[in-house]
Amino acid sequence: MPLSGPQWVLKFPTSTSLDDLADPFRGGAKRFVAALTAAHATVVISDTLRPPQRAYLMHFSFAIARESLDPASVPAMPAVDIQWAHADAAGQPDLAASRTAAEAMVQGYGIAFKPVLNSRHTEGCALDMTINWQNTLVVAKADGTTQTIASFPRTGARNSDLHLVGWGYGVKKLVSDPPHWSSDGH
Amino acid sequence: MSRIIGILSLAAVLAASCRSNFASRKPWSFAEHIGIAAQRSGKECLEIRNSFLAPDSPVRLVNTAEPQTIEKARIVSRDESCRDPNAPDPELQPYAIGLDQTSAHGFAPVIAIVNYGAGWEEGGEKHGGPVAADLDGDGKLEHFRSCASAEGIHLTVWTGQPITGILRWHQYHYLGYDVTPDCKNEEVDLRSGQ
Repeated sequence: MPLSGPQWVLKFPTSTSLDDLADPFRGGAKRFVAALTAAHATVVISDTLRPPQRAYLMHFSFAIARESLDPASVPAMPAVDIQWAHADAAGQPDLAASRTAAEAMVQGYGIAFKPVLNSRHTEGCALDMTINWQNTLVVAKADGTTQTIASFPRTGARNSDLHLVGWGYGVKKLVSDPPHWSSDGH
Repeated sequence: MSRIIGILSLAAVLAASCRSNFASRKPWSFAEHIGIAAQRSGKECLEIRNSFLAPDSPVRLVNTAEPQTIEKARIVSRDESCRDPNAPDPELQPYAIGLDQTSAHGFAPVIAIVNYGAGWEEGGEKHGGPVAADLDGDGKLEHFRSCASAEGIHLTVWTGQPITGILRWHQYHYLGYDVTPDCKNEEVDLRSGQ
């Protein structure tokens, strides 16, 4: 089983594809983004699916390196054959080596705060996107009618009229995180 | 006598001039003088609503993690690679900065202040309290705070105590991974503090 270390950081990358989202959120997200694009809004998608395996690797590397978690106590995860507990030449547990390898992963991921294991992103039910537009936005709603948005600001993060349009597609805004939209607003 | 009248006239002109200068003096802008510093693409970056920061301008960094500490840095140059594509505010301007010493804040975003004055309370373990400073020179101390939302950090500056005082500045930093939120409503209202 491969040992923990920085080589794991490049595995299970975060997706930027709407195709990787879970249905029915995927369908609503694709229609909403298509409507925005057709309305000449600029849409930049940064994150869609954050693989659960990535969240697992980030969460436990941080816990071992920064919170003194015993590497031997980390639960296994299907499809992630990582060995958190390192051993020395005599086959004895090498806690220092385990923590050093975990810290290298923390540095590779660029982690500052403890990552959580589960979220709407790991479920495929959230996407992060930056939306901007010029002039008045005339955008198709989920029911086939159009919505004219003349209000300010002209950003997806803060325009409550656009948030209502997204709601119709089942793409709900979490106001506390400017790029974040999800299936339930969390 | 005429000399006295002359001196009095000159004094009156100077006094009027001083009043005029004082009245037209622009107040210290929280929006233009405070931003967020964080590592991006392997370098230390600053994003701030200010297009006019010259190279070598001093920057003071406030790390809001307990115990709060201060780091010193300088503007290196405008640097588009420091721009955060997820930043909600297109008016934020990206700069590369250089720290005077090895970074103590790691990957955590910190509050960055330019054009600051004297009168800082350093904070940290040595000083036994949080960092504070009278940034706008009104005789009242500003305090610094951060909190986590679902996948980002909200950094704030308050006159008086955080949460109960007056919110003077707020900016969001996108992390790109999920964390446990601990923000209060007062800290995440994106319409406030600017």
